[in-house]
Amino acid sequence: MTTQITKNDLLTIVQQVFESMMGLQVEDDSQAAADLSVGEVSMATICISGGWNGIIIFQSTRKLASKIAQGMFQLDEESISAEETKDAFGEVINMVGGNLKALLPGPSSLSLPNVVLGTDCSWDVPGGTTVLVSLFRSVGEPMSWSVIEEQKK
Amino acid sequence: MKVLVVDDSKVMRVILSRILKEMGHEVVEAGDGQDALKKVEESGGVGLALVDWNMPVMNGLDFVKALRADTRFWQIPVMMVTTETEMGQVQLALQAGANNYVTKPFTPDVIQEKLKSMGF
Repeated sequence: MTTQITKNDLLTIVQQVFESMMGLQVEDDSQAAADLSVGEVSMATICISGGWNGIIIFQSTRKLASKIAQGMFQLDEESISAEETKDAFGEVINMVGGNLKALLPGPSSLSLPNVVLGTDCSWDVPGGTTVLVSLFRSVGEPMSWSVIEEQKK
Repeated sequence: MKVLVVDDSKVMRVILSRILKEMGHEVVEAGDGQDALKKVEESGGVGLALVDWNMPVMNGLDFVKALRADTRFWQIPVMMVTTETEMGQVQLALQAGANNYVTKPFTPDVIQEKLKSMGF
């Protein structure tokens, strides 16, 4: 079954996660892609398998990843380690993925998150169909959310 | 009261510990279900456990089942704190022996109110 998730569904979930867990506002911003194309980025993925099969991909600047970690740990920038940034970033996609899963055909299970802090990251999911890409912004920093559905064999 | 917080995410353990300490509780942390069983054993039991679902090694559901099967610790109240928001999953956790259920994301108020409703 093709996913029925909309950009508004995704934005609502991301806003709930950011506001309740770290007190950050999130807004829709279709221009955010240009700011994510180069430089230090953070990327997280989580898989859903069962009634719906696919992958959720979350990409942002390293600066936003650091802001997320600072907000969740309630520590300043200098006190946050790369491991803590990865942990917080992974927990964000875990929460968003779990709430998205509830909107998709089920029952399904959620994988553990994978997180990469790198430079000029890009991704490709062979056999996957991109069903939604949404661009948002928080604290002036861009982020993208992609929902990729596995093609039926 | 001594409260066990079981989550593979450090930041979630930190957030939950912060809320519990503000309520005056002592916190014991574990990174997965197997680690949690060890911590319960070492502590001689805890007054309450907040448990994530999706964790490596042993997930939260299997931890709850193991706890309920242990005659020494079967009465420990358990509140699941998880991203599993589907009603079927909630029912599965309650059937396995969880006493209450909170979905992520949450605010401190939600956790505090849930705990108060459980008598803590």
